[in-house]
Amino acid sequence: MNTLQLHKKICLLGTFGVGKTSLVRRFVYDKYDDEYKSTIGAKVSQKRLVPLENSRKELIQFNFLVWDIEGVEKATPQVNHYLLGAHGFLLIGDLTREETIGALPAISEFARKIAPGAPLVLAGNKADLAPDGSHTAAVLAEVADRLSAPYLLTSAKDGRNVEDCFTQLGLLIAE
Amino acid sequence: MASLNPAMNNLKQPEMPVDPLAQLKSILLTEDQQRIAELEAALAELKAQLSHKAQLIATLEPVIGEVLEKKIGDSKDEMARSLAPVMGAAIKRQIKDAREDVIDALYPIVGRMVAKAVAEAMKKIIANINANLNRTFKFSRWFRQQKARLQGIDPAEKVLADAFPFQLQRVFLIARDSGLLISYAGASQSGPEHDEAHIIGGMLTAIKSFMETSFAGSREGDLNEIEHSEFTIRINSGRYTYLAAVFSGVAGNELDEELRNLHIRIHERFHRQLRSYDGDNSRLQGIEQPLREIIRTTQHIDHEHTAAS
Repeated sequence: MNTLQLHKKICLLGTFGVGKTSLVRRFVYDKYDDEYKSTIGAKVSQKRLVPLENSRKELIQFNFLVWDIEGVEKATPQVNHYLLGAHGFLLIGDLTREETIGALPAISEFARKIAPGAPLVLAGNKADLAPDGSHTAAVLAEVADRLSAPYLLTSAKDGRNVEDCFTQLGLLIAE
Repeated sequence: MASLNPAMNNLKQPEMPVDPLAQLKSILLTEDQQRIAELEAALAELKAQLSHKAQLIATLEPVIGEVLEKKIGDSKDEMARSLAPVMGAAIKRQIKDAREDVIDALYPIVGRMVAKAVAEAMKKIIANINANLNRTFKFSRWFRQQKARLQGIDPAEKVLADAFPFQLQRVFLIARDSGLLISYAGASQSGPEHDEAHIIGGMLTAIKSFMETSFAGSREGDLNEIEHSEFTIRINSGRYTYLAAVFSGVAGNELDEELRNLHIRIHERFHRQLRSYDGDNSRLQGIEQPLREIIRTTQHIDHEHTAAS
């Protein structure tokens, strides 16, 4: 069976300091750095996923061009420009700061305006710092339900569910 | 009988006993004992100086410069070998701890180095221009200049372009909105470089977006050129895609025209696929051909030009 090679633009969105850059670093280079460096503008990285099979039994290998976009809470002309042509969004909240999860519906709204058909996956990051069954995880589940999007609890530090977030997004795009 | 010698008188007085050995010692060793006492005091002071860090520093400070100077004078290589391993680390540390001080110290030296490098580069440019001017009266040169005039190219620009020969290094065809790389051609087609081209396509788009939204104000406009080091990126924007040409040297006006024509050719053939482009490059078979052609053609022109000069 032939594997279809597809290039896709994936945008990471969330407020400041939720760990977008760390998630990309873990996903692309399998590395983690404790030091916080604020992203200015956008930084693009690339990663090829393992081939995925969709419901039509097509085998697709994605080459993800991952756009790590600076922390945002509302739409700006610059951020809108960065989102043009996006094929998928990873919306990230910090499980230790509830307000960052509360900001996700507003972020999803302007992202969906720019790229209407692009699927969303939500990530509750810094799961290594949040206790099991924490209140913020429940809030994230509720937000994901409202947005009809899947969610995962991730940790860029220990690597849990990071790869799965992008795979999940790949499977949604493949449909 | 009274003795005239008082010592003899003393010997005769039994009420004052005297140890003759001690007296002899006193007579013979007083001076040595004083010296020993002085030496002991000096030794104690020296010990105190050696065990007391601040005192030791105070003692060595006046001579340490001289010692180092002598050692360096005697064996410069040996000193360099001993100090080399720590010098790199010390410089790094100093740059980290006192960056501004280091910059202040290096500024005049770097300034002179830059001035020297610029002077050298200017010498080369002048040499190239002189060489070109010397050939001005050759018929082929005269003919090419007339041709340039007829094409509306400024002869001064032509001389400058000859001094900095143009070389097209890479051409990228990038989706205007998503920044996905649709096609790419380079002077060298090695694997990793080609793979890296996808990131370059994305970052170029991010930079382009940043510039166009941050500095355009209320007016819509496209970023046309980026310069870095000896490279320039000339951008030609179309409806669904943009072309980015990376080159060194001086590009004449004809580059814009070449890029515009290339873009038109691509759109004429692929406009349907480009309008609905969704990251599937297999639907654009053959799109790399015109990009390779422009690289080949410009190299051919450049070589032809070099051969004719």
